[in-house]
Amino acid sequence: MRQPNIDKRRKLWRILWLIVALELAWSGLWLGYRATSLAAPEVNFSLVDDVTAADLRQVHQELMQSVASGQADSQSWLAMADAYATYGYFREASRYYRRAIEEDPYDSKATFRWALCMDRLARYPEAIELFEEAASLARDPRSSQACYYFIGKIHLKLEQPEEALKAFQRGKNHVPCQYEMANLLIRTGRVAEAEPMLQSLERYSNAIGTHLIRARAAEARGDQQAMTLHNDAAERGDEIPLYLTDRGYLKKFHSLYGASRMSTEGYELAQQGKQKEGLDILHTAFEQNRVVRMQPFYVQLELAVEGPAAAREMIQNWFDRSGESPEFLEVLGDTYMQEGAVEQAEVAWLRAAKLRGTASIHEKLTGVYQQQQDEEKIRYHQGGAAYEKGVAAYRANDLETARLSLEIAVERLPDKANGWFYLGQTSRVLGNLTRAREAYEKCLAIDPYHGRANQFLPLVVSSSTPR
Amino acid sequence: MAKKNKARRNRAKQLAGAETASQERPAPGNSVLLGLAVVIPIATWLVHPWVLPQGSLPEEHRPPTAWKGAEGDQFSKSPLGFKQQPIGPAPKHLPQISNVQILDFDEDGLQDVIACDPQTNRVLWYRQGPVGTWEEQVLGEDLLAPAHATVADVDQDGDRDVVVSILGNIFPDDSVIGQVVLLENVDGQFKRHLLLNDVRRVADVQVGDLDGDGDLDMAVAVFGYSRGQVLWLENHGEFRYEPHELFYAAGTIHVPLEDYDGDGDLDIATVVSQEQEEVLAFENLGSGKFRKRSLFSTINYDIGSAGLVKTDLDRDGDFDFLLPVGDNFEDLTSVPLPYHGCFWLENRGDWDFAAQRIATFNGTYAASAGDLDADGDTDVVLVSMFNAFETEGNASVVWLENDGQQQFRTWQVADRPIHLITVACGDLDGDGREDIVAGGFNVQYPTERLGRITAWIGK
Repeated sequence: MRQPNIDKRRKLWRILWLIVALELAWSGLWLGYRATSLAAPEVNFSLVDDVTAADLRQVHQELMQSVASGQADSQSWLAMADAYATYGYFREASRYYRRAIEEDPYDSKATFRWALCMDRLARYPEAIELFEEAASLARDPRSSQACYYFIGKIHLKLEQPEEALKAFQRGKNHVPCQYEMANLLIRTGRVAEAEPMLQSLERYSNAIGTHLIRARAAEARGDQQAMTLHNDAAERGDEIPLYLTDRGYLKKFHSLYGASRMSTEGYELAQQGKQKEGLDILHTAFEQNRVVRMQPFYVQLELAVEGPAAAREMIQNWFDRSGESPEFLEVLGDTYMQEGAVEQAEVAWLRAAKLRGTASIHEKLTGVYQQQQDEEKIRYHQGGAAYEKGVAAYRANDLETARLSLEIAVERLPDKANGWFYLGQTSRVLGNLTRAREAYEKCLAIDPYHGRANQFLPLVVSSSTPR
Repeated sequence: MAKKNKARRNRAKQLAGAETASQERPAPGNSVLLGLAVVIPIATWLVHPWVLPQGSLPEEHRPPTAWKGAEGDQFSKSPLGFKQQPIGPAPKHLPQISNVQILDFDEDGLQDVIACDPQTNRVLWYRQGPVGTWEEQVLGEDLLAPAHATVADVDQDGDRDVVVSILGNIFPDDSVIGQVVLLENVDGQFKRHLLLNDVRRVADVQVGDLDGDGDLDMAVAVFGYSRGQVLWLENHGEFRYEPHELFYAAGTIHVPLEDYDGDGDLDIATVVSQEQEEVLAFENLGSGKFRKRSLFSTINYDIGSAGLVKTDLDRDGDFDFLLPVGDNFEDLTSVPLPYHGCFWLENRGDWDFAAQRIATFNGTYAASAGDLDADGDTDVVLVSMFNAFETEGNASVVWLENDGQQQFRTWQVADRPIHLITVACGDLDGDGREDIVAGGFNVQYPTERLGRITAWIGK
């Protein structure tokens, strides 16, 4: 009876020895791996909020795991480098970009971003070298043109105009290169040479930048009227950037980390109908990031989920933190209106209008006074709403909408000089010089010192205004 | 034979007994091994945090010629002593003061401080009395993001009015949201007049008789963002002003008025930032006519012009400029750059201004001139908005000691509060030496070492 017990014990003894040996081996390997693994760089995370700091650590952890499993490739290293660069840790980023390129020496994107990083570190010769390399590696012409663009910009920083021009020339028909060349030539007194570049901006003929640079060229040629008209056209121009910045390349990474990531998640959840979950995430994101700005959708969400009192508390906290603004006074009015507190809503909206009237605020006040049947105030705010809509449409170059709104505005508020002025502007650009002249004259009859009406009236009187 | 077999059996028994005994021995018995099997993973788990990763990526090779200022600037401690004291209440949140000035607002012989506070949309007067104590009074409220307040007797009735430059939004915004508001002093109460609207963000207004008709006109810097202007407002009486456009470009910050060419009338100067980076003057030709002149220009679009301060730095009887450069707010992250600092634009007459760098200081955002060491020449104070403040000890306030020949040595005054955007010099305690007041504007990390309005009183 005793022999089987002995065998069992012997077997157990052997198994236990094996387990202990394996554990010792595993323990040694694990501790050895830890000791020799790549330490996260000593980053001072006071430049970011706590959530972002945690996210950056997590990215590093994931990188280490992929290194340990032998799966790390250039993209793994690049992700870490981009994350550091996004938050201004350029020195740290630079080391990871180098590692990414060691993994894949033909990665033009990594080389390009490393060059941007060196540029921000003011290590210009190295940045130029890397941009050159990225240009030679790039498969599409636009990418290599962007490299030449940034080389040109570095030469501008170094105040080397001729080298900058050469670099921009290598960018050939790249619009930002053409724009910078034109700008540089005009600034250095070579406006005639800039003409082909100015023509190449035709594709963006209504961009603000196109109008402004053409105005500068006109001024350099001594053509004051053309300058005035280009500057005036810039007022109705489109916000299309004609230049590139490193911000453009790095901003997309911002929403991957920290409070920005949480804000995006919260917003997306809310959009999917999970308002409460979205709101909770947004609360955390807002509490974590001390410099983030309140967004109206956040308050609207609070209003929808938690109700008017909670939304008001949130708005008041924001006012304490960053001062009152018309946007949030308008929402404050909305919270009162939701409870039927019309008088308090009116107070909030009037306060918003005092700081800066908008079409939306005027429309809401119109609604309040329609309930009160106060015809004078209805007329005033209807006129105000039409004026604001008209001016916004004029600035957006939506001239027919502008004209219709401004006609209503001057009908409701015939003593508002600026309403007549913008009607004059709109009519002038639409080519109705008679109506334009009438409108400018009405404006000046109300306010003889209206500077721009005085400036533009002679242009329509002479009937020679180019459209 | 039988005896032999018995002996063999006994021997076998003994051996079996010995083997059994050896199997049952406690060390290293099964219970110990079992214990080890449990303890080893736990011990490893407990110990592993103490085993720190030792590997690192190779250090970046930095060529000897590479700029080494990215870590931020620190300077030798100022030989002049300063006593640092806050003015006004402590910050509740991240303070945002856009402008400070030192002047004797109530003309009681003690210097006061005027501040613009976009966080409360107010212009505030810190009335000094007795020396070193400050009482806050509100000069104007509901002023949406005030950038600057200019004190002048605008209506020439013998008291001090305040002209407020209103941005409408402290953050980048190209909308038409700026205003110029006059706070008219009516027996110590301030009555509001809207002098200009339908313009983009207004950064500065200065007051002076620009057309020589005896009343006070104004020059306006409309900073905007993508679009902006320089205007002059012709005074037609009864608070009616006619705007005239002198220049159309984004990023005009200040419009200091002075007779720069010594011909007896006021000229207008301005600095254009937003990548154009140019100092311009509008020479007064009389009768409301002006001629544009370029005084300084650089193709370094990234230099970050941050203001323009008129001062007779070399005390030769004409007005020069200080040009602080170091704004890079528009970037995703604001980093030090080698060209940040301060230029002196020396007026050599006949509209010839010679630019000379007098300091290199990361993130320089504002400058002020004053005789800090009371040695009879004009020194300069600079404050920094971005100086790699994640590193404690990096300077936020420095003064440039003038050796009398306009050669300057930079001394560190303070490393906190950080993120300073505005500075003024004036003799706050009446000891004949000028002191410093600065305002903090905190919209970026680090969100520590905060200060709202801080004075450094020369000891």
